[in-house]
Amino acid sequence: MHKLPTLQQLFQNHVLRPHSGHVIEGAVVSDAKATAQTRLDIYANAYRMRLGEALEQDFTALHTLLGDEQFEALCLSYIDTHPSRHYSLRHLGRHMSTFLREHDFYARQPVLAELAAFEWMMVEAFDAADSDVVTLHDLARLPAEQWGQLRFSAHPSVQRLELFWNVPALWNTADQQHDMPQPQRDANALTWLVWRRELKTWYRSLGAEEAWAWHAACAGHDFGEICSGLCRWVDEERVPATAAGMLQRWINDGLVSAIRYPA
Amino acid sequence: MSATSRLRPSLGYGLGLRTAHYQALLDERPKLDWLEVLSENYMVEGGKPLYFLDRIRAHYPLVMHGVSLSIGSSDPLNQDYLRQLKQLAARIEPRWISDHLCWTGVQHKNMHDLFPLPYTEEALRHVVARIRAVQDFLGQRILIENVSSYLTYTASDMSEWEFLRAVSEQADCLLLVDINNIYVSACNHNFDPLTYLDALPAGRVQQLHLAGHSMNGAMIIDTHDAPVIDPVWELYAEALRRFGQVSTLIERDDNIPELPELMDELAHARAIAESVHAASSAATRRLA
Ligand SMILES: [Fe+2]
Repeated sequence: MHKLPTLQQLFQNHVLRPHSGHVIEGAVVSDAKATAQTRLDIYANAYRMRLGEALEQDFTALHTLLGDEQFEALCLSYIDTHPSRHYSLRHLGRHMSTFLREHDFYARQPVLAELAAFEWMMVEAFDAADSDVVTLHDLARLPAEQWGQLRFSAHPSVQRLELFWNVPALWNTADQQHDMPQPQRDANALTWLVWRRELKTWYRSLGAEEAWAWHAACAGHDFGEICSGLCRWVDEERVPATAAGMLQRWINDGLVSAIRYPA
Repeated sequence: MSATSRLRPSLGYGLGLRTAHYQALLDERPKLDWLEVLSENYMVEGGKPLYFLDRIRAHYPLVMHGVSLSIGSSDPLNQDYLRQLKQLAARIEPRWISDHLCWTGVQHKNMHDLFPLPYTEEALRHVVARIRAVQDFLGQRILIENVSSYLTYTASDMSEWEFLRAVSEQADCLLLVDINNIYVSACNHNFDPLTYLDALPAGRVQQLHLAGHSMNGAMIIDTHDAPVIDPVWELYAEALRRFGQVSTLIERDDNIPELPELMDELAHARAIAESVHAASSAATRRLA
């Protein structure tokens, strides 16, 4: 007779790989109602269905783009490679984008990994930590002579990604009735932010100069340094207005949770 | 002090908190006695789940119900999980915390299912020690719920009800008796559900679950996607005859209807409880 750890290991192996011939049937009672095999299969089938449903919820657009059959095949091969190691199913899909990017077959359609990355950011933004946001009113009260030394903290839900493909357009139509547009690749990647404001998830793209400025702000550069950096894109006399405009927009979007300056 | 006197008084008739009902609960404040929340859904950093939970908590008593404690697993207890559980409990101050008599995975994998245990002395010792450790960590007794199961192990040398009774007595924990799960397992394993109810220590039964299920060939699958069926209502009445007035909750996880439909089901539970209670009071009066 198996000790508990061995029995559980065998049972789990069967659920993970029902057809790999692990010896578990003998440990399970067969009776007139159902054989051990039938009884074990209930658990093995339910496992795939349950994890598949979790992935389907998080990757709606990926599902639409691939279609039912291909998406199901993807789920099976994904959970085979990345079984859940977390107490919550919420985290199941965290390797999906990497999986698609590194997989021999799926890597041939690079839009898939980008779409999965975008959808996963939506998941992350949904229940990321809460935080206050800075308002324009707060900004107006800052001493003017300190502006050069202002540093910024992003809201905990803000995430940034670079996309070559028209992923947000694909995502946008996924749960609607209209047809999904064709995946299209641009020569240059565009930077996107995904974040939550109050209870809603938002996303938008950034031009090259704003993308650079946001990155610099998140890396801890102060407003003065950001202004100097913007000279690469903007005439010097227009830099302060451009930078101030960006800052206002970040604040209006709810992207900034704190502004610090030396006391 | 008897175990009975340590039970919490009944909270009445409650529902599982589901996202589909968040807004209606806040806007309409339906007359529900209490709500049960799935602990893992709120072990997140922020956003919508905690936003609604904090607000709903202001109007309804809550209890926490988990699915990932994995009390029967041969893996060590997940300390991170326990810390999160305790942290959530500190935030929402539930009336109590429950999880299942099962295991959910080994080797640090989670299958996200409630797998049955073999009912052996070895498993009993293991589960008892772990419930005690969890109760020490949380600083309170927990409720352990019987699961639906689709298989039994050849290794088992006692019945599920003997095992559950021994677990509760040796670990000094409380019980969440799922009436539908007893019905489902009784059908799948061909035992008499009343034998099961008779074996449970009434003084430890602090909560009951009711739910619907679906058929899969000869087997019944516990899907929580349909109304409670008549035989389960009858078994509920039998449970009340044995356990007295117990906090009762209807679980619905799929095909979730609007609140009024679920409230009708709760009203039915209340009516059954009232008639059982009236009959038992009459019997007591006749004896006096
Ligand atoms: Fe239950």
